[in-house]
This record gives sequence, C-alpha cells and structure tokens, in this order.
Amino acid sequence: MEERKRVFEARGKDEVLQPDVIKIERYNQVAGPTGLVITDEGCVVYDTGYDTEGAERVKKIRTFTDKPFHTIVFSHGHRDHAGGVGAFLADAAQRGHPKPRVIAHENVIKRFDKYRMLRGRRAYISALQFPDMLQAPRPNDPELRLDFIYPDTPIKDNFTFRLGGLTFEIRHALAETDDTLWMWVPERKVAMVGDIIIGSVPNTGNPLKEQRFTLEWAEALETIAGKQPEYVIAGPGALRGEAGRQVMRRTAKFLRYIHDEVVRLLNEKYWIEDILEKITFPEEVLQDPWMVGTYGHPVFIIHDVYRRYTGWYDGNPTELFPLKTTAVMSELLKFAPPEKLMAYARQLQQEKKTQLALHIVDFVLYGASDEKLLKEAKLLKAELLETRAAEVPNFIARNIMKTSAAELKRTIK
Amino acid sequence: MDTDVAPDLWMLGGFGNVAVAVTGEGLVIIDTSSRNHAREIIKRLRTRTQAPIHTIVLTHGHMDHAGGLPIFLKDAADRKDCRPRVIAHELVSVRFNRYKMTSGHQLHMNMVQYGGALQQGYKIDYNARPFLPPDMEYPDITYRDAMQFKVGELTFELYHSKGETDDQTWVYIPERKTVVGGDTVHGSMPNIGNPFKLMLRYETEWAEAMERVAGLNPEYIIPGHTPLMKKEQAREVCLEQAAFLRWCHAEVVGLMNQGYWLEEILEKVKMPEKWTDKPYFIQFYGCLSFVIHGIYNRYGGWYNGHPADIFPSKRADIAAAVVKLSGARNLLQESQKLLADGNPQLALHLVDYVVEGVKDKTVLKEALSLKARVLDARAQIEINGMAKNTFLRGAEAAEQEAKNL
Repeated sequence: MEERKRVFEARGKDEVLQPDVIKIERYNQVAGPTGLVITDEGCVVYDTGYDTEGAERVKKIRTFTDKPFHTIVFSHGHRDHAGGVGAFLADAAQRGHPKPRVIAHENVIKRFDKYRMLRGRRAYISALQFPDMLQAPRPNDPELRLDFIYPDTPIKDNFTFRLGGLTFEIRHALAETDDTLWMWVPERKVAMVGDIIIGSVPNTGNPLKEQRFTLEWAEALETIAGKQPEYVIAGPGALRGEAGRQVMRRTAKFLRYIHDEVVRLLNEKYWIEDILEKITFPEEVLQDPWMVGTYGHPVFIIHDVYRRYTGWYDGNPTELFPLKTTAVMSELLKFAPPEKLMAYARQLQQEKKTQLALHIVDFVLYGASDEKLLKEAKLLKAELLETRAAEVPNFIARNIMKTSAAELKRTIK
Repeated sequence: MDTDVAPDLWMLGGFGNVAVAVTGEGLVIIDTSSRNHAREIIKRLRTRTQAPIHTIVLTHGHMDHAGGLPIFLKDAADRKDCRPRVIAHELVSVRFNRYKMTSGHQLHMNMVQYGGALQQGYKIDYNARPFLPPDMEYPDITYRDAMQFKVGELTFELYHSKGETDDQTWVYIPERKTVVGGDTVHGSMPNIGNPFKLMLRYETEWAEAMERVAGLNPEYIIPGHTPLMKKEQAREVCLEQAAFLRWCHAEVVGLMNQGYWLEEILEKVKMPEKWTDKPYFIQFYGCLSFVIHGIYNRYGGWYNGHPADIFPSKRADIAAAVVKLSGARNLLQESQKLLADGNPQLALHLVDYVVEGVKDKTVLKEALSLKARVLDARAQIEINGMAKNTFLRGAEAAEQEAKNL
C-alpha cells in the first residue's frame, strides 16, 4: 500500500535513485519513464517515450549530464517506449557525439513492419480503446506514425556489455509483447523493466490485441525479483527494496494461479464459457491495489491463456460454419416480435439487468428492418451501454462501450 | 502407398508418410508416422533391408509424424543395433512439454476432431492415454535455423520453417534432388486456422517455405501425407499454394484495415475461380474459412465487435429469455420445417435456443433429439472431413444427453 502511494506520488517527477542512476519522467500520463545510467564513458538510456516528448526528455537529461548517449535500449517496440529515440540521435548529431547504438529485440523490426501492414486496423482499435485521449480523426496520433527508427543492434536472447566500470545485462522476455527486453545493472542493483510492471494486473488477453504471454510474464517477474534489485524502474515509476520485490512476486503468483486454473479446467474438458464462470479470484488478490483490473483485467487473462492453448472452436457444432448474425436474428424475430423484445429489454433495464438487456436489444438491432424500430433499439442500446460502461472498472472495456454508444447515437442523427 | 524415389530413397506410406534413405552407414529415417502405423511400416521396411537405423529426423512434433518414434527405437533395441540419434527442431521439445501439461485437453480435442470418424470405421489411436505416450523420447540433437549432415554418400540439409506448426523441418537431399517436406508441403488446402488446434499458425512463413522449396527445383517431393510429387507438379503445388496463402493473407489484412470484424470478413473473402477445382485446394482437411479464422486470430484479439460480448451473460440466460418471448414450441416447429426444407444450418441456430434455454425435461429431450437429427443432416452435406466429424460427434453427444435425461 505504502509502496504504491510512494510510486504514484512520484509520477511526473524525476528521481535521482543513485548519483548515476536517474528516473526521467514522462510528459503525459501514458508513456513509461526513461531509465538513465551515467558513466564516465557515456550514458545508457532505457526507453525514450513518445515521439512528441523525446526532445523534452533529452532536455531534462542534459540538466544532469553532458556525457554522450552511448547506448539506447528499447524495452519493447510500442510507440510510447521506442518513439522518442529520434530526439536522442539528433542530440548526439548536434553535439558532434558518435551516433548512439540502438539495441532492441529482433522482433521489434517485425513489429514495426506489422504496424505498417495493419495501420488501418490499428487506427480503428486505437479509437475504440483510447477515445478520450485521442480524438478522431487524430492525424497526429503518435500510435499511428510510421516513421520508425529501426534498431541498429537487434538481439535475439541475451546481451551483456560493460561501460564505464558498470555491467549491463540485457535479457529477452515474453510478457506484454514478444519483443520485451529488461536490463539489470548488478553494481547498482537496479533493474529496468518497462511494461513488465504496469500498475494494474498485467494486460495479457487485451480483447483488441494479439496473443500475449501470461506464464512467461510470471517467469520474467520471478527472475527479476530473484536478482534482489533495490530499484526497479518500470511503467508506473520506480519501485524500491523488498516492497518492490514483493509486488513482482505477488503479480507472478497471481498470473501463475490463473494460468494453472485455465489449464486444469481445459484438461477437464471445459470450454471458455464454463472456465470464465468457474475460476474465482482469491479475495486478497482482488484487494491488492497492484492487481486492480483498471487496465489489464483478470477475466482478460483467462482469455489469454485459453486462446494460447486452444483453437477457435467453442464446443458447439452450430458455430463451426455459422450463418451471419443478421440472418439468425431476423429468423428469430418471426417468433419473438421485436415490440415484445423491446418491451422486455426495457423491463430488464428497469430491473437493472443491463447486461442481459443488451443481449436482448441486439436481437432487434440485428434482426429488424423497420426504421423506426431500429432507431428505438439503437437509442436503447446506447443507453444500456452507457449504464454498463459506468459499472465496469476496466477502462478498455469501458471505452469500447462508450465509443459504441456514441457511434450508435451518431448513426441515428 | 509405398513408392521408390531412387534405389536408395523410399517413401513408405502411412497416416503420416515415412522417408527412408539407405546409405552405406545405415538408414536415415525422416518421420516415424503415427504409433499404430509405425508397426506396419517397420514390418515392410524389414522385408527390404536389415541395415541399422543411423539417424531419425522428425519434421515436427505432431503425433502423426513423431508418434511412431518409440516403435522405431524399440526396433533398434530389439535388433541390438546402436540407438539411432534423433534430430528435430528445438521447439519440438517445447511442444512435447505442452502436450504433457495439456494432455486432457489434447485428448478432448482429438475426440471432437476425430470422434465422428470412429463411427465411420476409421482406425485412429485417439484414445491413447496420456496424449504423449510415456515411452516418448525427446530429440537428442536440436537445431534452430538450419543444419546439415552426411551419412554415407548422402547429404541431408535441414531447414526450419513455420507453417502448420512453429517446429517444422523440411529436408533436402541434393544428391537425389529430393525434398522431404513433412507438413511444409501438403497436397491439399493448407490447414491454417484448424478450429481445434493452436490458434497461432503461420501462413506467410509457410508460403515463404514453399517458395524456398520450389526454388531448389527438386525432382521429387516426398510430402507428409499425400502421394509423391514429381518435378513440374511439385513446383506447381508449392508455388500455387504459396500464392494462395499470400492472397488470403492480403485479403484478410486488407479487410481488417478497413475496420471489418471476423463475421464480415468470412463473408467477403471468396476463393478465386482459377483455384476452385485444383486438386491441391481440396477442402477436405484444410478449409478456406479456417484459413481466414487463422489469419484473423493472428492479428486480432478475442473481441468480436459486439460490446455486449465483452463481459457477456451466460448463453443459457440469453436463450431462456428468447424462449420465453418466442415459445419453445414455435422454435422447434420452425427448426423442423427448416430441416425438411434443406436448411439445416439455420435450423441448428434456432434449435440451440431451445436446447440452451429450456428447463422442462420433455421439451429439452425433444430439442436435443431434433438437434441430433439436424446435425446428422448437416454432416451429410459437409465436404470438410473435420467439420463432418464434428457434426457427427455433436449428434452423438446430443442423442446421448437426451437419453440421459
């Protein structure tokens, strides 16, 4: 509790952890901090923030040291960590320093290529997930820029170098992404871990993103904690000492618990719906502020593990080659008149059974053809989604609901 | 079917094919077929040669290729030969570990995928327990990208590829201008997006591997399952299937970029006519809609575009509401009518609401029997073998459930 308060109160402030180890802060509430190690032979920089704030970070670093940037490490290829590197390279050029080496996992290259390939999809997903932060049509959305600076030193597994009397051990991990690198400086007992710690329960199983790595994430947390770090620079800020190590161990334990439960139930021949119902979360975990479901969510993690080990078949042969939703719903409406469905959905709304009401109104929305009725259904669905959004603690789910409600209202006009 | 590629290079047919290279230093075996088939294959092998096995290569860790390994090793032990070395890609061991961890699930999926086939008289050792046999051996030598070795007068170039799995190897024997493809080369529609297996398969990497194989201009390809392929035909299969995978990938990605969800993409992607009647695009095993699922799942999350489905109600609760508003009797009658009219798929969707939504035992029993009949009818018009099995197995399960009520 105390540790979390301290970490979060230090958000937005630079922290000199040791004379040569500094946490340089973000310039908005989204991107993780930069970890800076200053040696006589130059600086090692871990993460660079968004494109839009790289220059600000460099400016701040220059209030601490004039040493050249020797090596820049990307914790992974997400834009809020790799985007700001251009400003660091520009600083080196301006000062006549040698070009810093840029180290990243080799999958960062594939990630950048994938971002080019899927730009349209990413724009759409980004709007669903972050509608408050990024206003449509968002021409300046840094998430969607394609002017990547590729690493010149891609690595596959592990990589260790010495600089200015310090050792820098870089390790590959599978966690939120397949291109995660964390760094350990044994002489300073400091670990830099990027999004391996995110301030909520780990975001594996994000409903909008591809497969992530629940079990390996736990392993990475355990390995880092096993180094006995005194300082851990991570997404939400700098964690310290035993309290910080405990956060990692508790998170790893919870990830393993969910992983093992899903595997156990899979082996007992259950499908996703039953598994979602059967897994309960220990009360002490739900009370743990580091395990809140505001960004990641325990239910999402179940989805992540399930989808890692299974195919897309849901256990019902009907769904192997299903008809389109509209075809099924319009058939159904022959027997469940839409007026009756609407009335029932409203009744459920009154009874505060918002989720079931949503499913019922969907039958009308996908099955009816009468314009007036459709308009009513859209309005009701938008209302229901807004109510539901206010109930859910997870901001990804909440934003999807809010965006969908806004979209429904827009189409009515 | 057994086929000789050269006097010293044989293809022995089975549920998975086995390639045998006969050298002065012993035999090199590429793939071991399934456990049941391995026994018969070894009998046939031993009518032709008494040479010891020098090396066994596994092209990947699926049980129709690696399952026979303990049988081959036992043959060597029984004959008091030196134990053959076993070579495979490094991820085969990771796969075996996963099979141990998810053994019950693997058996479940085999039942879903092949259970219906049992009714049709197929002999599949799906019922082995645990899924990874206790006497299974892990490879002795693993590699990551590529490796090469010589046994006797033949050279074996091993290349890692990803496609149906992440642990694939294909082998080139330059002296015989022959590729042993494993599942990298398959004579029918590539099985990306198998509904029951790992979501993540590798369509573009698979295309690339087939292009590499074609680039060698092999005289022969010994594929993992289908009959021996010769020069021109081998080249055509590789290049056309690669073109298909790249086309399908571009289609799905293009539609994802336009903001479409899976349901719409499944509807929009249509097989180009030039490929529809090619034998190597037969959809008996792999299937276009499966491939679309596979590519979509690789880049998408589990959200389906319906905000109601992020934290959904139980299906039973939704179905109960539907039944309450439309009447179970009405839905059953309509489903029956649709079945009679030759529309079993829509009949299935309707009867499901009753199956999932009613509590009354008599009605439920009726609904389950109807679902079984509709699934049987659905199976009759299905060309995909896996889907057909799933329908038949589903019918059997529904009937059983009705009986148990």
